[in-house]
Amino acid sequence: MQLILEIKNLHVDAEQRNVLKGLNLKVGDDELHVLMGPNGSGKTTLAKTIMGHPQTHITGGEILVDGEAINDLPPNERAKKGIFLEFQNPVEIEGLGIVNFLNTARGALGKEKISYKEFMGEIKANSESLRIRDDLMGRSLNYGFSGGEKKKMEILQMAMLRPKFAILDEPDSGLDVDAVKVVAENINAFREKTHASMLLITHYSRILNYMKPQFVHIMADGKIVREGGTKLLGQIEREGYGLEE
Amino acid sequence: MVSYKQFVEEAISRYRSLPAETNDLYKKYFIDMPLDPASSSAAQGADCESTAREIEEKTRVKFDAVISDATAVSRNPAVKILSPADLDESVISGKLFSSGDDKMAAYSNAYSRHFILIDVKDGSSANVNLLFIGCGNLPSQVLIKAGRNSRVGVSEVYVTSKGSTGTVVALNEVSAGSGAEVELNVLHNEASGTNVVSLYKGDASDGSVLRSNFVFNGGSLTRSRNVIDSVGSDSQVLVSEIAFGTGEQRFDLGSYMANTTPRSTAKLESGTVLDGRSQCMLKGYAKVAKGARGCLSRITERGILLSADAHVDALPDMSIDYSNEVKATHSAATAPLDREAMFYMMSRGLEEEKARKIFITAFMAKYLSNMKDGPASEIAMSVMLEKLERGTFGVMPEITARGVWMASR
Repeated sequence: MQLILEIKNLHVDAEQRNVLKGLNLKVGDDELHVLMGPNGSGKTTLAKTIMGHPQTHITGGEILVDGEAINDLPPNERAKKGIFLEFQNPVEIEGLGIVNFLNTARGALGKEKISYKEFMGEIKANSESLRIRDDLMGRSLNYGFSGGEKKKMEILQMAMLRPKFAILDEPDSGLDVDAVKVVAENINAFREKTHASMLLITHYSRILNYMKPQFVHIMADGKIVREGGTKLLGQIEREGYGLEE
Repeated sequence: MVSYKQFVEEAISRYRSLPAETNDLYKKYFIDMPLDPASSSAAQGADCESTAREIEEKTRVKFDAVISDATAVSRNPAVKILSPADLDESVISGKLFSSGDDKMAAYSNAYSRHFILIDVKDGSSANVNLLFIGCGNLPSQVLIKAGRNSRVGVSEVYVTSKGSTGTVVALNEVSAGSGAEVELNVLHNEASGTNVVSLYKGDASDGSVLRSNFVFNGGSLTRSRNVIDSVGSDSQVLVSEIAFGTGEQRFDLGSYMANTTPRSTAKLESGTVLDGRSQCMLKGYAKVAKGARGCLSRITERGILLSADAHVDALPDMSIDYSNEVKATHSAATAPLDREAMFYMMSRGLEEEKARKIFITAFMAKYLSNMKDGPASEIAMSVMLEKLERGTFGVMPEITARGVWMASR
């Protein structure tokens, strides 16, 4: 197993609170990990910390990508190392055209140069696959989008920017039944094509009906408290997280 | 009989006697512009034709008229220019000029020198580009009359020479006939040291569409007033303005809009980006009068502060005399750069400075997207990008569509 991400004894403060309290996690090449846990357990803080959010402060431990510590890198340098965060609540930026933004991001990440025609072809193929309405692509980034449309736009960005490790922070929240399936199928297709590793954060097992994770982690009070394979999902579905009050 | 001299003297007197602001909310918020029309004599020896040619090469726009403080040349028969010598009593008494209890109109009349008339006949169409070049004071009044069902586009660019300490006085008075569609785009990119006084009066007849877009990028002190006092039934009026301030620049942007007839729409979108110690007042006032059944009135004021010393006063105000079947809203928001947006863009690989630039440019593009005239929009964006990237203004950069972050609405 080639190691992509390793988190060692991570302690993080956010909003003047100690949120992560000695978290450990390893994600190998071409692996799909699922992270679940009750509200407030620190899942989103973990996602933001890995991506380098300025309001998460690492007070102890290390985040390694391909063996290199990234604790002190700004978000853009982490992105260049192949990390991608699918935001739980993507921001709206009125006036910023989606196509221009994607093109600039590809350039910033040093992706291979492709013709405009090829680039637009990729956008069209991905947006059709995600069933994104044509008119949305001509609008400002996420501006006035529904929750579901924003989620799909995040997956489209992932497909266009081709990270080697993606953190998906609740890609299923706010989606209807059909949209969950569409999003899951696109995530699967992306993995098959690129063999990217993923850490998928979710509250619900519904999206996992369409996916095949190898590892499941349960998080509580800033730590991973249980780990296992897909059998753990069934157990959670039947019994809940089984955490002591 | 009223002579031109008397006309100017009367305007000066009126300016001095009228209050700076009539709205109670705004009485503490205004820039008191220095009045000095006596020094508004034409600058001598200014080579405005060569400057105009240079700007035309950079913008790739052929201007229909070039107006400087020394000369005024029309290259298009649709653009008629009058000088004080042409102003006999019949012209003056023909109510060509703004009047009433309007301090800003009095200011403009006090400086009056060039009168640009654009008269588009019923059912006709015209696109006119005007270039104003100032070496000292640059007073001008542009009077646009769009006939019934006409299509009219007028774009204006104002620049002043480096070191100029005069005042640019720009009056635009637009009358859109019934069923007409009119767009006015005004770009102010004066050198530092120049003051700017802008007065816009719009009159939209039944079923007309009147769009007006103002970009304030240059100058030291800017006072702008938009007055939309007549909106016909089923007509649409949009006023959009964006001010980009750096250093010690100050902007006083006020607008008065009135919905007076059924099913009329009046929207004001004001925005500002401020860096350094620059300041801006956004004062949008809308009135919905009795009888304006089914109308829409909306004011939005937005500001981005790029430094701790920059300051904005966003003061939307509204008066509604008729509340049934009326949609009337106002909102104001000012904030530093959005940290979450910056993190979002950086998470996609953009360096912090690039993300900052894109965020600011996107904010500006939101206002410029109201311009349907592509070249006018590109020139405005290029001028603001020049300021954003190099901190310079008052000069015309090479115009390039690259880097223009447009998203359709």
